[in-house]
Amino acid sequence: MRQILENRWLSIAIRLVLGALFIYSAWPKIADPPGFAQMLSNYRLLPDGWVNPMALVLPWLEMVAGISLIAGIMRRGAALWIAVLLVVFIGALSINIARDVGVDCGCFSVAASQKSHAELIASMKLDIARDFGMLLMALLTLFSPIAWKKPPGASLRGACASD
Amino acid sequence: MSAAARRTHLAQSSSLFSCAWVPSPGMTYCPRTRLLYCTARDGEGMSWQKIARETGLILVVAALLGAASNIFRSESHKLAWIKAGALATKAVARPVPEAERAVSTKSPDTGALFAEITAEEAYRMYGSGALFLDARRTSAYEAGHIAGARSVPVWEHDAGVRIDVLQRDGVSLEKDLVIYCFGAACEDSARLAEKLALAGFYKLSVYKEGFPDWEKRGWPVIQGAKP
Repeated sequence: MRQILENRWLSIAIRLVLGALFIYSAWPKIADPPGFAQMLSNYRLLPDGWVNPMALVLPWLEMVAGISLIAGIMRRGAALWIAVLLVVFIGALSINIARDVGVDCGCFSVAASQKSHAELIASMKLDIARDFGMLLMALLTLFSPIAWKKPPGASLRGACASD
Repeated sequence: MSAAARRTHLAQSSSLFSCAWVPSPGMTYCPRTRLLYCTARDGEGMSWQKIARETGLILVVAALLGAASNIFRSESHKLAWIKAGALATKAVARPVPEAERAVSTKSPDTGALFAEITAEEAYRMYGSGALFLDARRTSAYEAGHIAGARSVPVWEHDAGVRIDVLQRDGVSLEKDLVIYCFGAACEDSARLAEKLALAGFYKLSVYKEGFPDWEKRGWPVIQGAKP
């Protein structure tokens, strides 16, 4: 397990895939903020005054975090944001499933679908499963031992401290 | 070996890539020599503090990009900063005399802002000259709308302005208004009704089944940006 987690190429692959997914999902929201604002308000979770600012910033947050992950710049911060966002998405979907309100996910598209209530609930459950998968990827990137662990025998002293 | 010497050693090692991986932006580890090299400024190790700084920076960048993109966007894709139309619509709600309200409101007992009407009622009101308002997005309006309906896309930033224009065009507050969007699942009509009520209109009806139903029944529909 450790071996797998410390595999450099695997961690790079995870970063690239996760980053690409977030850029892909951010694009339609950036292209059409009023459409995304409508999606957000359908969730009936945010106070009215918060919907529009969120609709403006959230997609760019996904975009910037996605680009950071792929470019490898500030990738821990990006991974943390992505993990937080995914937890929020999972929560928002779960609350609406719990109160039996069918909403369009608005995850990868902001066009209102013409789905029936049952179809909406079913696809929301799928969306949650997918979000959990992505959350796992984000956590792997965030906690990847490659960036945290001081390798055994490696000496930090004298290398970074005395320059 | 001094730090400078280590850095030199690292720079000279023929295959940096095969030797080293990067545990954090400031450091490079070489398994062969089992040494961790400093390749950047001091104190650039990875810590929660640093991650917190990164998340803050990412948020600031995203907020700036969001704001900037909203400034330079085309009209139909702009978003009001706080609430669609909230800044433009001055709340000019005037008190409606009790007697008048009782006559005009279609559901006086519920005290609702608007009455929900069926397709037949909507069609009857269409015949008797009620003004239809389309709450959907501009693109949907242009693709096809009830003939004569005016576009007030409630999610776009100038919804408030369009309501003001309505009044400037001489639509009186007593005018019968029928609001619709794309069907029973959309709440844009209710949202628009709220704004209209704030502006002082009080004969508000929402045609719940909306445009798809109207179109299906073969009633007058036209395309384009004009009512």
